Amino acid sequence: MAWQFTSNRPIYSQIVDEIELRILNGTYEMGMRLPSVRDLAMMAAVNPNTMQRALSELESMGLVNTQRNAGRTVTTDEEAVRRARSAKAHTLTQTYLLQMKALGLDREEVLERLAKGETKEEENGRNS
Amino acid sequence: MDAILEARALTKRYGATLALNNVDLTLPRGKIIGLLGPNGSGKTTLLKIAAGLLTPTSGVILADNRPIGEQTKSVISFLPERTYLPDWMTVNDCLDYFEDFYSDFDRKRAVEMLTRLAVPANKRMRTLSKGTREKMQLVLVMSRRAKLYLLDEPIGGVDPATRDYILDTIIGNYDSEATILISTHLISDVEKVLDEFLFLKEGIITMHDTTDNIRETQGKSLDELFREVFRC
Amino acid sequence: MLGKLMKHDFRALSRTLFPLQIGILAGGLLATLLTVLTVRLSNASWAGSNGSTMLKELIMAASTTMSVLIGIAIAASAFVTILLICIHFYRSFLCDEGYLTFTLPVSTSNLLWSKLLTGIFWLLINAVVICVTILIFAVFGTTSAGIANQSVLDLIKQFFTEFLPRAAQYISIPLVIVECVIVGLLAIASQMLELYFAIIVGGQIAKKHRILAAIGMYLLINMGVGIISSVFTSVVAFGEGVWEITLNTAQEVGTFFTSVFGWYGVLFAGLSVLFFLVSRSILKKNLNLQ
Repeated sequence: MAWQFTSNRPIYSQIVDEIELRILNGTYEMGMRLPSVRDLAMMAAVNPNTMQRALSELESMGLVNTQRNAGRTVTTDEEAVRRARSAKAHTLTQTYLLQMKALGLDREEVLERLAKGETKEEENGRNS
Repeated sequence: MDAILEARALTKRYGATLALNNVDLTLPRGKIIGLLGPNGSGKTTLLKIAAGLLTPTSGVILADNRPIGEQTKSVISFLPERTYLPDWMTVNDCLDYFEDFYSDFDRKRAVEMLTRLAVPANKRMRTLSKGTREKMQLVLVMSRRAKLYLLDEPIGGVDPATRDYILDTIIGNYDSEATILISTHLISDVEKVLDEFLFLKEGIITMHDTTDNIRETQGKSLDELFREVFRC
Repeated sequence: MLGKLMKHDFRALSRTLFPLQIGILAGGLLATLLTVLTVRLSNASWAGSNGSTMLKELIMAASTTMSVLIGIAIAASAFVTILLICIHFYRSFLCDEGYLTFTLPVSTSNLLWSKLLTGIFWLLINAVVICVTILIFAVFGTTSAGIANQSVLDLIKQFFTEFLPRAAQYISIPLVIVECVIVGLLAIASQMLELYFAIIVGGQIAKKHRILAAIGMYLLINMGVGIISSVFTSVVAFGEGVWEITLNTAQEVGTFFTSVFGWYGVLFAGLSVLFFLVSRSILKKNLNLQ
C-alpha cells in the first residue's frame, strides 16, 4: 500500500521521517541493502526524484550510505543511529511538553502522567 | 540542461475562442510535470500542439530544440484521451505497428506489461473492455523510450485500482533523461508523482512551480492550492 | 517509411477488399454455371407433362434472374471498392485513428502517397478481377454446345493474330500500350486524389455531417473539374488545329489518338498535382481532429 502523507509539508521530508523511523525501530536493519530508488518510489507511490532527494538527505544525516556498486545501505554506524534516535526523541519530547503546557498542565502533573502512562498495548495486556 | 519543451507567446484561436493565450513555458528534462487546470482551460490544446496535431495561431513552440515536425514526433510519445487504436487490430498488430514506425519502441517491455495485465496477444481491440483498451494504449505509449511523454488525462474516468496501476506505470517507467507531462484535473491523485506543475486557467499559465516549494512556502498541498486558485 | 506505410495501408484495405474480390470471382463463376444451366435446359427437351415444363421454366427464370443480379453486383463491386478505399482514408485521417496517423514520425506527403498508391493498387486489382470474371463468363458461360464458346475464343485469337499485326503497320503498339497505361494511371490517380481532397475539405467545412459535406464537395469539384477539362480540351483542340485534321488514313487516326491521349495525360497529371498539393497543405496547416 502506498505511504500516507499529509498535505502541509514537502513530501520528501515526510519520506525522510518515515525511513528514519524504520531505521530507528529496526524495520530497516543496520547494514541492510535498501531497494533501488525506483522500487522505493513505486512502493511509496511517489516521484523518483522526490525519493532521490529524501535518500540524499538521509545520507547527509549519516543514516544511509551509498556504495558505488552495491547501491544504498542502511548505516552500520551505531553512534549515528543513537544520535538520530536521541535527536528525534528530543524533538518529540519538546513537542509533547509544549502541548501539555498549552493544556495548562504543570511539570509535576506531566511527570505523574508519564510515570503512570501506558501504551494501548500495555493497557490491553494488563486488562486481559 | 536545455529544455525539452519551450513555448513563447504561443496562441491558439478557434474562431472567437482563445484556447491558448500568449503561453510562455520552459519544461526541463527529467521531470514529471503536471499540467493542471479545469476542463476547457486549454490543456488538451497545448498537448496536441506539442504532439503536432494542431498548428498554433501564432507564437513559437520547440521540442528538443526543434520546431514541431517529423523529427520531434519521433521523440515525443503522446497518449490522447480517446481510444485511437483501430477496432480491427489485434494486440500483436498494434505491437507490430509501433515497432515498425518507432525506433525507440521497446517491444519486450510492452509484452512484459501486457502479460502482467493478462491481455492475450491475439485479441482484437474491439473485444477488449474500455479500461483494458486504455491500459493497452498507456502500455504502448510508455514502452517507447521517448524524450517527452504527453499524457492527456490518463487517469480520468478509470476506477481507483486502474488509477494506481497507471501511476505505478508512470513511476516505474521513469527515465531521468525524459520528461513526462501529465494533464489532469484530478490533482490529489497525481500530486505525489509530480516534480513540478503548471496551472492553466482559460488559456493562460498562472503558475509554474515545484510541488515541494508550495508545501514549504505555503504549507499547502497542490490540491488545496488548486482549489484556492480555481475557486468558482 | 513510405514502404511501411504502404504495407499497413495495404493490409488494412485487404481486410475488406480481399474477400470482396474473392466474392466477385465466386459470383462470376456461379453466374457462369447458372447461365450454362439455363441454356442447356432451354435446349433440352423434357419429356413429360406440363408440370415438368413449368418446372423447367421456373428453373430457367430463377437462374436468369440470379445471373442478372450477380452481374449487377459485380458492376457495383467497383463502386464498393472505391467506397471502401474512401472509408479507409476517412477513418485513418479524420477520425480517432487520426491521432495515431498524425503522430507518426513521417511526412504528410508520405502519408498521402501511401493512401494514393495503395488505393490505385486495389482499384487495379478490382479492375483485373472484374475483367477476368467477365472473360470467364464470355468464354464459358455463353456456350450453347461444348465447354467453351468457340466464337468468343476465335474473336480473341483474331485480335492477336490479325488485328494487332495490321495495326502495328500504322502505329507503334508498344508506344500505344505505354501511353494507355500511363494516362490510365494518371486518370485513376486524379480521380483518387479528387475523392481524397473532397473528403478532407468536407471534414474541414462541416464539423457535423462530414460525410455529407464530403459527398457534396465531391460533386462540386467534379463539376469544376468538368469545366476545366472542357476548357482544356477546347484549347488543345484549337491549338492542334483539330478542325483541319483529316482522318483519312489509319496513320492519321493513330497519330491523332496518340496526341489526344498525350494531352489528356497532361490534364490528369495537372489535376493530380493540384489535388495532392492542396490536400497536403490542408493536412499540414489545418488539421483539426475532433
